[in-house]
Amino acid sequence: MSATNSPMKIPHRAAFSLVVAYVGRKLYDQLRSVAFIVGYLLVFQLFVLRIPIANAAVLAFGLAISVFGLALFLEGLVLGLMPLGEFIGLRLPEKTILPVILAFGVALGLAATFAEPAIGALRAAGSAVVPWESPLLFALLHRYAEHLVAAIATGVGVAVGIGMLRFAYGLSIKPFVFAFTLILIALTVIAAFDSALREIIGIAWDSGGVTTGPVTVPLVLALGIGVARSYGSTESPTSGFGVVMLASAAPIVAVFVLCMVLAPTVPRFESREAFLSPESHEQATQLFASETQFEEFTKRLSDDAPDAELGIAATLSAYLWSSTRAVLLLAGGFVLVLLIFVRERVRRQDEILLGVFLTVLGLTLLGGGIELGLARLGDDVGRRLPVAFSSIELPEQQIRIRNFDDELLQQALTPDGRSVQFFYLAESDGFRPVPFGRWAALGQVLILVFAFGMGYGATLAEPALRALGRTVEQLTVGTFRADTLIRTVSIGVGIGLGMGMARILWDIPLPILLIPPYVLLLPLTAVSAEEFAAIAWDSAGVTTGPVTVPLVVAMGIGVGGAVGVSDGFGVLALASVYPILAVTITGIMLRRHQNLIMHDSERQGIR
Amino acid sequence: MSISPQAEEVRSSAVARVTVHINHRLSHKLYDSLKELAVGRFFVEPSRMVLLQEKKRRSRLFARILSLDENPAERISFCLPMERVAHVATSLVEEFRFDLAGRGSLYLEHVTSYSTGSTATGGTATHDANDTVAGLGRFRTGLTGITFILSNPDAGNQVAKTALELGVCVPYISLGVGTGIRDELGLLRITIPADKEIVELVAPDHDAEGLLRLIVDECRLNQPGRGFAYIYPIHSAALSPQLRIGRQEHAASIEQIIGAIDELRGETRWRTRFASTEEQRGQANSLHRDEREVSVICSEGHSDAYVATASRIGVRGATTAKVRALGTDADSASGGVVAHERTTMIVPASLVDSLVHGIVEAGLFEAEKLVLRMAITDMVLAESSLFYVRRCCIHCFRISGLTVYVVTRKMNKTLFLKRHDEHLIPRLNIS
Repeated sequence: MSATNSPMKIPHRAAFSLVVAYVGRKLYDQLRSVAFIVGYLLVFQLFVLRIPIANAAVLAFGLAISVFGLALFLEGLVLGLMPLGEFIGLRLPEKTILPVILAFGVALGLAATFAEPAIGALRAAGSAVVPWESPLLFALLHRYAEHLVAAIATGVGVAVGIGMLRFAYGLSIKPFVFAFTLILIALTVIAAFDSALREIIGIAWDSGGVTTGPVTVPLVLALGIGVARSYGSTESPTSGFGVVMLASAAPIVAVFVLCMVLAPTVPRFESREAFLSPESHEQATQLFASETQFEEFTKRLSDDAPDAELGIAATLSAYLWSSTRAVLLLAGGFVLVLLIFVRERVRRQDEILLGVFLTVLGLTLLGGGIELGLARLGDDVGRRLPVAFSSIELPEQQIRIRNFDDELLQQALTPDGRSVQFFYLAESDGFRPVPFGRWAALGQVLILVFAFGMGYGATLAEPALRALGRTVEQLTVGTFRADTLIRTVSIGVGIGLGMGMARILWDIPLPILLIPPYVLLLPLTAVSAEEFAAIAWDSAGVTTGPVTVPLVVAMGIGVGGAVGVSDGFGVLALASVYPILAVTITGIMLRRHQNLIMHDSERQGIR
Repeated sequence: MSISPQAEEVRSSAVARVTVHINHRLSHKLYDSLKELAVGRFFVEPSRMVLLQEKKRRSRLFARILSLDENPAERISFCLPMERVAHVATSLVEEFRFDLAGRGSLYLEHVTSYSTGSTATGGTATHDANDTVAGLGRFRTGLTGITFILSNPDAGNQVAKTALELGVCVPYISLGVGTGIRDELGLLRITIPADKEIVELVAPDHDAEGLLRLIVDECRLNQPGRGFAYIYPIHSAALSPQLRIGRQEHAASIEQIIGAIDELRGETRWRTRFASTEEQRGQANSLHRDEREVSVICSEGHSDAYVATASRIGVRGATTAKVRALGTDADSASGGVVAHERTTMIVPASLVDSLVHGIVEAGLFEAEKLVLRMAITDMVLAESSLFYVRRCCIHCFRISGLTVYVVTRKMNKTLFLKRHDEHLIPRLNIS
């Protein structure tokens, strides 16, 4: 278009007001989407926990740039990456043969994993893992980190390949859902009864959720919709979903398999002393990639120094590098395919270029902004939350008392006549009175409530979910609103996070929380409509994005550290399954409502 | 219609265009029926069907709640030779019982179809309407279609609700993307949302204009940047009768009573509501233009070339919707590509010939023989009279999304008066 018509001259003032109105609209949308989580965390911090805000300026700066980042990133996706993905998806089936498309799918899956490495989030979640308690998990995060990434990449690659095959032959998502769910439940049960494998259930499930990053999801989604549109004979117009689900499930299988292979080779240790003793040095170093890594680890054990926080510039430049790599690697792959196989000009190249640029910029600002703003806020609240209710200020002073009995509580009076409760704690050098917080029992419940609200709020702001919601709304011509989807998924994530915290607080084994919802999902998926099933299962993959993951991980570690649980794994997996449940149920309700009118008319028809 | 010698392969023929809006749940059954009836290729796009839902609440204050009930639907259209349309339409109506609630609607229009070579769906080029009517006794006639193209994302439901409350018909909403002036702004175009909601209504002839005015007024569509609307004759239709679902206060709904009286009297003129608005009618006529709706269906990604051609001869703006081409000969015509686009342009009647010429000269019609796949699968002309929504001409609308009214007006003046386009100047209608 722009090539055939000379661009119109727009007066500068008019152009300026156009841009201002546009930017204002976009910023307002994102402000609304983050308002809940920011307000929620601030209220918690200031009024419930009464902690003053440290570094308010940095925090405000972080929040501000994350709003900008979200707006830019989402606009970049809509202008650049998604049209590019859809265009290629649309053209590939016309221009090439199926094996090429499958190969492209596999390559895309592999590239996505390396472009948006999930290992960082997994390492963060497992930062408190110690080798004498969970050697296999430790080895997976250190010596076998590359194997882990490779397993995840293979999983995603195979999944995207299967997804393309599904579109080519117009297969339903349901058999895949059933197959993967059953395999995963079986693997989980096997692992739960194996003492060595038990510790990796959490990481295996989490690796499914974190692999599908904010750039991969919209790209894969758009590609899928393009391919499905191109192939789709009499398929429903909403086909095109389902690849993200596969890309979340397959890596879990891959990680389980990897762990099963590795388990026999990993040495085990009786205790910390045994691990550090010179006799087992040979074995201990087997958990590390190199001798230096081992030395670093032991040094960190002894001086216990916290990691230094990066400054604003360093944080931003780190994110600039990672987002440039992610976007350029993925978009670059697409452009390559465009040049080699499609050999056709994309519509509106300038828009797509601008979109790619905005995506990089947006992702940088978003990641940096989250780290400087939201994550700090979440971290503060998450760390203090369990502590605040037990009247002990510092997490280091925390001890976990099992079998606590309310009968032990004693009453005492303060000088101003208030009644307080305390109990005696037996220590090596005598008995010490410990004040008992009025809210201590409520504290744990409050953590769950807080976790729900945080999961809900963080998911509202999740950009990949917004992209999914937008796509769903467009494809269903507004009969499934983006807002409905986003809210439903957010409630699901909230519930999942609450469950995750419950797991950490009360040390519930992960399979007990994870398997029932999946079992429940099998019949629900069977009765739900095809398009809703695919959308519901896809929403699991999008929940764990750049906003949620840092907050969830921070909170998992905070609460885990406070109650003495070493790893925060499994929380992300739980935050993925409940949205599926929520969306499936919403879909069934929506479908039932839509069927009402048909039933009415069928009754009339019979009469 | 006369077409230049270069365009010998391009044949024009008078055909009937059938548009079916069907509940999503019945769509697969409809595809099968259409294949059985050998209608050839048909085009499917997703849409939504909107109904009013009435609920009774316990509270006395808000005893009656009217909400919108949105259902997934599909818009299916195809062209048939005149002699076949009666058979196909009656079989569809018998099979799908459009007279029952929530199933859908079907309507027929007389259009001119341009196609290449043997793939032409048209039969004879004579436009004998009477041939068609035979066998369509059960269809309602004397109808006019109203199409709204709206740029505000929520405007679709707003118009639908007003139409339902006015008892017009069941509205169907589909999505489209606006092109045209927006594309000439360079990168600045991204500041103007291109997404459009397209609302299709069918109303009795005698009320159509009045209803259009009423809806425009009630939904405040007469603001710049809100959209535009046009009306066109519909030959006959089988419409979904029930506009509201849920609680019903009487033994028969008002729509059923009206339907029964219509059937008894055999016409709908008895319920003309805008009888006394002769003055308005005169006003409306001043907005009447002799326009044609040109819709071009081509494989996805190629509509830009048509819009560009149209733009060169002075047609401003087009609305493009994604459609899927299904049907028996879907494979032969354009290499099995399902993904298509339907571009709708409103073209002054005097420009239609030059538009067809332009398309032929640009090689777009013949392109099918070349390697490029730019076949116009169907190019359909329907007579329409365009109502630019008052004070807001089509160009105002294109520069939509602006929040400041003054800027819009200024921009229109600067942009369009500068271009000295003979087709544009008389259409400028800024108050």
